[in-house]
Amino acid sequence: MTDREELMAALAAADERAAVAVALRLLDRGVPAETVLLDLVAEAQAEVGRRWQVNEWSVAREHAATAINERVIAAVGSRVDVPPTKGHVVVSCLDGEWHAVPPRIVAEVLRGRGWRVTFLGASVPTAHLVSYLHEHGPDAVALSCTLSRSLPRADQVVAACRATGTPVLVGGRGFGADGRWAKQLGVDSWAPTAPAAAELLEHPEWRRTAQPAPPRRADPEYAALRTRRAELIGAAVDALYERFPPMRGYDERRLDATLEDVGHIVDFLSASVYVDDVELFGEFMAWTAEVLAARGVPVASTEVAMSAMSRVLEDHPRALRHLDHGRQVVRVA
Amino acid sequence: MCWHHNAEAVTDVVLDEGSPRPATRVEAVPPQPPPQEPSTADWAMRLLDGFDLAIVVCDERGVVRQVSAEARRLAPGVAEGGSLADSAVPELAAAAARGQAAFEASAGGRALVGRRRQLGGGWTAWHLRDVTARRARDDAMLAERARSRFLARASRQLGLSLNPTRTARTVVELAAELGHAATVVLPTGEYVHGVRGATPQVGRWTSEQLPPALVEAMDGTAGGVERHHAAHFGAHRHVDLSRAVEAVTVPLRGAEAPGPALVLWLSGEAQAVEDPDGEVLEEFATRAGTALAAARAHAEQARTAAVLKRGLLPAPLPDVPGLAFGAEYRPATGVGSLGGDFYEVVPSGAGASFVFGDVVGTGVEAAVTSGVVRQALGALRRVPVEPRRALEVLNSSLLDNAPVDRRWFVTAVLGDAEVGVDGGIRLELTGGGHLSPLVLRRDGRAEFVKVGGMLVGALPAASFRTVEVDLRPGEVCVFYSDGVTEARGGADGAELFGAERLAALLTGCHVMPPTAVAQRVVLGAQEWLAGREHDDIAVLALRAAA
Repeated sequence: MTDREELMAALAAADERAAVAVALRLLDRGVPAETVLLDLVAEAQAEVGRRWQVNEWSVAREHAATAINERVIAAVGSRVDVPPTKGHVVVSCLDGEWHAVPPRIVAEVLRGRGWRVTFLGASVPTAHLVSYLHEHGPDAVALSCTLSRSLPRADQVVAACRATGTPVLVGGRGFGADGRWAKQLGVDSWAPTAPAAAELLEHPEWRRTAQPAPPRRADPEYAALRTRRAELIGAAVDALYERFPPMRGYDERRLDATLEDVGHIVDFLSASVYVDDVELFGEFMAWTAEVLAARGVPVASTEVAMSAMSRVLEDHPRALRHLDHGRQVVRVA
Repeated sequence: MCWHHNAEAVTDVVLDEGSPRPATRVEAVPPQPPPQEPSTADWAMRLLDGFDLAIVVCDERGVVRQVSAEARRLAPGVAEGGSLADSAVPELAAAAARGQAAFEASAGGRALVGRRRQLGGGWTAWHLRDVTARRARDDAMLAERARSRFLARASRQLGLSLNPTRTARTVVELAAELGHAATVVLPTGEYVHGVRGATPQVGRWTSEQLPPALVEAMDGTAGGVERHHAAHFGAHRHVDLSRAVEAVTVPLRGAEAPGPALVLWLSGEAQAVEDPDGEVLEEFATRAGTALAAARAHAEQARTAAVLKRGLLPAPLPDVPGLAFGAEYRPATGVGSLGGDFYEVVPSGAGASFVFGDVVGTGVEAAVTSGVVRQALGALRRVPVEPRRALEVLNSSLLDNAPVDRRWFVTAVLGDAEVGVDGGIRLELTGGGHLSPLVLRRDGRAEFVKVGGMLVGALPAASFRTVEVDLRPGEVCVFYSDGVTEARGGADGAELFGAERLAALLTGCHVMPPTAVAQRVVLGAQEWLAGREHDDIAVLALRAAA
């Protein structure tokens, strides 16, 4: 059994002691902590996500495995003893973002490279983050965004951090595989990996004092999507009742889940319009199609939901373009 | 006297010497022989000289054929019959040699520009212009614009941070644009020093190391901007004294003395922002002083608040053998701020004692009440008293001590967890009207445990109940506040999250570490809220180690 398989087995059994033992054994063998975090822990976490996506694991099992993987990161971090000489970095998840494994790894990699790091945790309210920055005056703040639907929030949080003079570094899948949505939002400090984040912070051209972000132009279509969120969800659910018969047999929990899924469609659509790139919504719908297929839910149901939303948004040409793209993606899926 | 007559005839016409002469008078002058017509080339030269135009005309072989007087003045050495290579302006000679159509030259404080035009037949003409005065005007305007831009940018940047060190860094980075390097020194001896374009260094001087000029700038003895020889500042390990010639000290006055001071190190080289009269520096120092004073005032208040908060926020969870705890605490006003929900876990005998509760209300007032409640319960824990009795004492204490204008209502659960030999836990829960905790059984079910009891602090004759719950190894008990179950969401944003949804959310979650269970509750509530406002949310999960 490889180390990764052994860690996966421990995560699958929610066995914290065994999971931590795999990582510590590698450290004892002289494998650098950064390698353990990136090649073992991060890879295992990707596999945890995949097992949920293909419906091999329940949400509860995925969360249990994730929580234990976080303990593994903490255990590896406690073995790292590098004097902090380079300054203070605050690492934080955006409000509403619960995927704490990637930023935790970034935090430990930075710590291992001589930074003093404060990890503020999952789903950190913006007001708390900003007052922390004022109170402690760190050299930089690193923000993690793992879901593209959080991009409008990410934009606001970046602006709020820059408004404290603190330079901002961003990372996470939410910005797109190549970080293109970070660029779209005018954030030039996107790092694809934890080592890249460390290198960026030490780059001679890294700005030590942030300039305030220029104000964003009002986007009436994005505003409409936010204010009409409930209406859009309602229209989609009504259409599903009518044109997607299995839904009539759903119990209350399943209905809640459907409501939540439809809510996600609206949120990703809003984010897609916000960054003005139909690919954002397209990628989300392709992913949704896979998740639904793995659970035996006909992908056509999303088509029903999206066409209902299109009828609500008939006066919004950009939103319609994004929805059309999403429908096309689902049709070929 | 006929000429008299003539003179009278023109009197009212010749009022102004510049006026054209009337034709009558010309006619009166006897006709002269017509002067010889000048050649076209002569006309051209006269025009050029008359208008002070500097023109050099060359033929198709590059031989200079015409040079206006102004051109002779601007480009000495160029003469008819010669070549442009003879010019005393090397840029003109070079441009001609390379076939360039324009050049710019500056020498002896003068600026000269030249443009070439084709005249046809291979002949060319150079038009030279002296732009010294215009350049000086432009430079002055640009410098003025750079100064006002700098001050505008400084105001923007200085208003950003409320952190004293970051503000001092911003002051240093900005000030370095006015010189070679800058240092901000605080009355405590702490300093931030930065060379233009480099990372600022932070350090501290002892009071003996501080140069007297700096002490005087800080304590208010020095009036304003003062210039010193850099060498008078002694050894400064961050300043390259071979480059810094002058040290300008400026007090950065906020409200009171002593206050911070700025040292600007000048090297004598050109600056990013030229400030010959020191006006920009004075203006900048005023703004920097205000920003530093505001940051310092904020830091002092934040420190006071942090000390007060420390006693009111939940303490970290202890390590207790055989038990694992996890908690989440999210007040309505944001993480890190105060709320009315509270929990506390303390190790005891064969396990742990804990309390979980919710003061009616939110924010600072509720947090202060929760502090009173926790202190009272903490004191009661030290005397041998039944938990039910403890709640009764708390009840009467809250009734007696609440301010006249408002009541202190609390719901709470007191718990004692005892670890058994098999790794299971016996829980004794005493309820004061709190929501029923959930127990996550080993088969994945999530079941409510009714504890009951009455609201604490409402009625003098309130009664409380104690129940016992057994957790087998790996089972979890979850306490939560009404911020979870009363989260509003759903299709219309008005539906309550409710206990049933919570139970469904936690079904099968007994496998999770308690920290993940607590997080899952908050995550579920947050998804349900979809960004809407919520009441204080707290969760405490305890698990019998498997």
